[in-house]
Amino acid sequence: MNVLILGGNGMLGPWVVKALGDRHRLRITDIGEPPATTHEWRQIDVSSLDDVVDAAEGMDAIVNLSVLRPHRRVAFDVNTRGNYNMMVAAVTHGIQRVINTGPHFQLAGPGYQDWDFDLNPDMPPQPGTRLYAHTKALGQEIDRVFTTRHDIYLQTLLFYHLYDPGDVTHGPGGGGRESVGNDLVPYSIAWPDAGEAIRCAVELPLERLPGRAETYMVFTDMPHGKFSNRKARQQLGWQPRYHLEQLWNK
Amino acid sequence: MRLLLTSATSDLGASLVRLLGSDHDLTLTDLPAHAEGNAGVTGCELGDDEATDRLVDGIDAIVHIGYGGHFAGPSDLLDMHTRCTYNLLFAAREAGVPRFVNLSTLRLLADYPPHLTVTENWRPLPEVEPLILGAHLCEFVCREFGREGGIKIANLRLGFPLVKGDTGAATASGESAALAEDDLRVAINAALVADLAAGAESAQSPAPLSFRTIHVQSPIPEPRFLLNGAASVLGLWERQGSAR
Ligand SMILES: NC(=O)c1ccc[n+]([C@@H]2O[C@H](COP(=O)([O-])OP(=O)(O)OC[C@H]3O[C@@H](n4cnc5c(N)ncnc54)[C@H](O)[C@@H]3O)[C@@H](O)[C@H]2O)c1
Repeated sequence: MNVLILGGNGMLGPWVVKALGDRHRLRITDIGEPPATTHEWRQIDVSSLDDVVDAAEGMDAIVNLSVLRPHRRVAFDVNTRGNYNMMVAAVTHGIQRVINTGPHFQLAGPGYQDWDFDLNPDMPPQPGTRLYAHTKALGQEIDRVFTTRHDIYLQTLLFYHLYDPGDVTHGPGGGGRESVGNDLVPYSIAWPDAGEAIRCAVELPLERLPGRAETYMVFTDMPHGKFSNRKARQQLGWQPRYHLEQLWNK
Repeated sequence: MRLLLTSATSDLGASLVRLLGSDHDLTLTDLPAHAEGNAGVTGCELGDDEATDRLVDGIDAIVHIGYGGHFAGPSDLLDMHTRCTYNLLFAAREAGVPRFVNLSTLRLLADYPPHLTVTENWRPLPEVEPLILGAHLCEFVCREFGREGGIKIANLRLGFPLVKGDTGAATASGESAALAEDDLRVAINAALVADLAAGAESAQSPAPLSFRTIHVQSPIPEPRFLLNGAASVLGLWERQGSAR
């Protein structure tokens, strides 16, 4: 498959490239400088419609990893309008497979997380007004609306805390905030497992998708019961290799 | 009331100035490119900055055009209806502006066949066309602010087309979703003071709803959209505007 990756230079990008690299032809793009890669590379700005439409030519799938968290204008440009541009590109080139990513709280915002258990990816989004969650949720809503009007299959993979499986003490908490034996965010995953989940979404036969907009909560098997990764396991056929149990055992 | 009106130089904005001008003390704003050369209109990018803070300072309510303002390219439209709306609501909430009226469109529900009893309880079916998508996303932004509270947001979905005059003119237009300007004026004035939790499941809760969508078309015979919300929340057109 020819796969366009948007925002491929970030933290997750290399893990996705690793999972897909030997099996597909990749066109990696980012606004940043070229990485050291043997794959095709293009510097593009996802907030430019022309850039994204050009980059998508000849592709069979688009994987959107681009994100900008802090700056008000740029966050809307990248996280919201970047998705509009991606969907227009998919329509323009007849690309049926679109994979979007984001943080779990673009769906399960404070209105859920502070209260409930068994939070799952088929709940309606309640991102609240926090910039990162809100702009990503708007992007996701744009994607969803496009799937109601065009023959595009959207899979959205939501992540939160990501760990190096070789050294969980250097997790997202940094400096041991989520230290061994001290519990962790009950929505965590190892980087290689995250890359592998994207591979599953890229390779899943489209006819196996029950609908044109499917969302997955992607984190390792954890005993908390706060969130559910059941759909990622069952529908994507994804299995985590790393369970981060050092962090949830005393 | 001291009202701030956005997209004030657009066609809809100009109609609203005419309709609301004698009831309220209006502050008019628009993007600088549109405001230029229009005396009495403050140009503002609705950015994340002090200019937006100054605009909302001392305002009692904001009437925001969430559909049918200026025509523009997709990027600018989406930007106006997402980022600019977010910035405006953010500044308004910070400044303690108590109320916000978003003017959206019943076109979001136009795909439902006319024989259906479409009310505020029916899911919008937006198109990807940027004007409509923009209106839908604008509602999304408003809803999330409403969810958090701190500002009361009435989301009025307006009928189409907008016709000059009263309900009779809307009837005479032959358009089943028409909205007469006089009815729009009455609806906005009601939305500025209405108890947005009226009739809602949370009405009796200590923290009742602070976001409400209300369908507003003229109460003509056999209207395209039912006016249940206008009756229960705005106290308008009771037993009018129903199918029979
Ligand atoms: N890393 C995490 O902890 C985490 C947690 C939850 C969800 N996610 C999600 O995973 C995905 C990937 O995140 P990440 O951690 O790799 O983020 P990152 O910030 O490391 O990488 C994002 C990439 O997007 C690129 N980008 C920014 N603006 C761009 C533009 N205008 N045009 C093109 N590219 C642009 C950046 O240069 C960067 O390389 C995102 O959707 C993110 O929301 C990440």
